[in-house]
Amino acid sequence: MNLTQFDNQALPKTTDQLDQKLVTRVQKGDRAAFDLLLVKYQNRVASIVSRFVNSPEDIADVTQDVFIKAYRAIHSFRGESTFYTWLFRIAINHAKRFLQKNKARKCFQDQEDIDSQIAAHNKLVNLETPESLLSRSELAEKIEKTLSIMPSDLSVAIILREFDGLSYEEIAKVMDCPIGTVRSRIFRARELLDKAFRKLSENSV
Amino acid sequence: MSERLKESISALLDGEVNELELQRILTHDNKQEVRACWQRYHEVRELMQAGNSLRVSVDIRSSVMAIINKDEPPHKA
Repeated sequence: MNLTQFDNQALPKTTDQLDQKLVTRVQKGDRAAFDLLLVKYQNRVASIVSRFVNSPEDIADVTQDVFIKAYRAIHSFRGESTFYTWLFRIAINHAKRFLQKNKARKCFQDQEDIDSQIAAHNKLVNLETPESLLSRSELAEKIEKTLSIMPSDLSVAIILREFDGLSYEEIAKVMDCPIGTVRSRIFRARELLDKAFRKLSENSV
Repeated sequence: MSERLKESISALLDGEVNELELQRILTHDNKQEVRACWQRYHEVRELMQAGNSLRVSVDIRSSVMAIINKDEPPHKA
């Protein structure tokens, strides 16, 4: 597994329409149409799965299962939401089930746990970067580490918002929760990221 | 600054506030605090978007298509 640059733009309406066209073709038995959807969304789904699952092998396996499940259930997609909302929801549910089965990732139960993890991480960061100013990419890397230690519900919400450009309503559908919960999760994720960022900035001066 | 107001500022960043909420943010007594919070959230957003490493890349196409090609075409339930 390697890491690549991502397309940060929100999904335009034409993308939704194209997806719908491809889905209709898949529903009529056109596997090549599913191939296009698979290539288009495999990295996005893998990114969501990676919030719940640790190892690259498990991420690839779970992502594969998500697409097979989506293909086999394609007739249950009725276009009431966008295709990617439907797909991301399958990904989250499947990744959560995998997590429950394998207990592959530690779940933090409360804010105190999260804060202590971030504090421990920041301590580590300080040792790693003694006196020099952190570059933007280094800071971004640290923020990614902060994302990886926050509860999955928070990191998934902020990632769907910041990288996939989903609205709160769409995220609520994907995560199967009220819009108010999405709003709160994104806020809490930003606060944790902000806290980590400020700590790093203070220590780099 | 209250958690509620900070949550509103976070939602404003995403264009997810109504007129009343926007009014509450803009008329808050401590404008400096509001501005600082707004700025911090923007910085977090910029950093996240600068973080190329946040995207995972996989290539599962071949394995998925190999399995799917052995399947019967999906049927309506």
